[in-house]
Amino acid sequence: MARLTRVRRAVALATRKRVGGLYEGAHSSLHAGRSMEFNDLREYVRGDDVAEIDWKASARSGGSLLVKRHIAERRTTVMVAVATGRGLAGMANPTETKAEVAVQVAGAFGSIATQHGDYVGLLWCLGDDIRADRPSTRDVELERMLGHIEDACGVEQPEADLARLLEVTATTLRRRGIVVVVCDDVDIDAQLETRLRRLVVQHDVLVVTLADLDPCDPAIATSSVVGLDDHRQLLRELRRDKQLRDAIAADRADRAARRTSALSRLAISHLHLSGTDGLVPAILNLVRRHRHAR
Amino acid sequence: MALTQPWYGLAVLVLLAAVGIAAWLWPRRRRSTSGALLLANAGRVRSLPRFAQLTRERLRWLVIESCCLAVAGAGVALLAARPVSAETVAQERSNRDIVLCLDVSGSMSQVNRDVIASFTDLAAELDGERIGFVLFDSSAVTVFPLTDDAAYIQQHLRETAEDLGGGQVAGTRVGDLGSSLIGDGLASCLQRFDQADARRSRTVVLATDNQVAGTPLFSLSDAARRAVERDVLVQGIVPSDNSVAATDDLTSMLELTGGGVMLLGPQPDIGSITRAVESQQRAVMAGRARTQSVPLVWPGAVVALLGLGGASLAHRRRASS
Repeated sequence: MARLTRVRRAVALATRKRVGGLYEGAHSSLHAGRSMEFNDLREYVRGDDVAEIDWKASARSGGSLLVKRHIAERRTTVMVAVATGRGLAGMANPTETKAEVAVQVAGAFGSIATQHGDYVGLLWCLGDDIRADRPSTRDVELERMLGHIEDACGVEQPEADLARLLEVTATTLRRRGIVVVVCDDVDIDAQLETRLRRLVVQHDVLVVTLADLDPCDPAIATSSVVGLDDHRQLLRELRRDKQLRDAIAADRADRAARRTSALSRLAISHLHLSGTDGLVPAILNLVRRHRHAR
Repeated sequence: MALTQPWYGLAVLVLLAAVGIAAWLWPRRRRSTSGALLLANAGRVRSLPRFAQLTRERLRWLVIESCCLAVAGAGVALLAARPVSAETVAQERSNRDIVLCLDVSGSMSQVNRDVIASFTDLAAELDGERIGFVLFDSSAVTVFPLTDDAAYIQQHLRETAEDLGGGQVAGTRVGDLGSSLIGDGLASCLQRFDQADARRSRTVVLATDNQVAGTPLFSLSDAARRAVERDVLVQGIVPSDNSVAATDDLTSMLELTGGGVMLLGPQPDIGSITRAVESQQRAVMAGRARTQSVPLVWPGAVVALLGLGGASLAHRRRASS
């Protein structure tokens, strides 16, 4: 349970002050119904279940019959779809791989959801083969899912197929739920946009993209940087160049702007992460924004 | 320029080429990615125009550096091939012996300084010969034996000129045979040549007025005959105001040896003596010039250093860009 413990600790640290209202209302009930949780009282109308009458409250109110109203307890499924593959084996910053960040993201969503009794499921890529872990509320299952993510992000693994992952996600989760898509620093092309549009009709969709390492970062000027796909060095003397650094930053900002505009057209909340630093607050913030957007 | 060890040069060239090819192939081996930071989507970085520009610049300096290294390698190979330059060494220079013979009798005292001045000119003009200097009156005194030390020759000629101003030179008048014994003086001078068996060019420059006062052991004709026997050329220098008979007598004797007589005027024609000495030289030493090979280091060293300098400059530019 090492991975989950780490995530839990981060979640606990980030949420210590607001444990009470952590994830509340993020997926509030659509229907009032029966459950164990008490909401308020109202006057009896014909057709109400007699068993629902609160006799003591009725006696205190003097004359009118009151019935208990309950929040409908309907468990939501949080489906985390991670575009695992070789790409995530790359570094997100000088100390963490993108796979580590992805595990943290999935773990944070998973543990927040299970704390509220929601189901957490996982979909991940093995090339164009999409694997699924059945939604569960158990910590053991969640830990296993995090292990699956980690295993599928090796250097020798095939590339992720994000389009196929989104397609499978749409067909896997039948009931309305929350879909968290974790993927590389991708450009949203027409095909992806179509898939996302379909997904967003069915579910609440959150997208978390993972940033790449900045090869021109002065902090790593002395260490060697090797391209993941071509196994070729990015030479140190080239990485020292200031203009190259600016060009890389501009390229990334361009892509981020294109992605943001595409996702906001689809009304998808989006988060771009470059490390696990401040990850849980960012996720909570994302969830809050998403709730307000709806 | 010739190469004495062309195979060494070729071997060095082949070796350097092999090292160069090995160095070229070395980084081509797939490096292990352990310890390196893996960068996903490196293709995006590589496709940036600025990256392409940097790569081009780097490639340019790399090509320049490689060319400079190749030049340096060629220089080293050239050094290894031991280039030599063939030089014709003028052997005859050191084969010339000249004895300057000065009559210091009273009759010559007026012109001695001029004679020594002309000797000095002659010694300065001749270069690399061995020169001896003998003074004679009734007997001969060697001022210095045959030597090729030019500074020494000049110094002693100068000192002798100063001594002559003070009157008689010690040792030049021994016995009572008379004074100004020209034949004895010339015979003495002939004795000053060493290495009698070696094939050398021998010249006596005899400065005298040919006015004998006494009874010499050798008459002038005896001395001239000895000179002919020993293949010695005797060149005379006579004061311009000398008696015609004495000059003619001397001239006829000295012509036997192949020499002549020069009149010592206000502007003596030293060139005629030099020419006479050198003409005899050629006759004796014809075909004795030999070639000598001298190691020629600088072309290879210069090429190697230029190449290395250029390479290090290019390397620095490449690393700093």
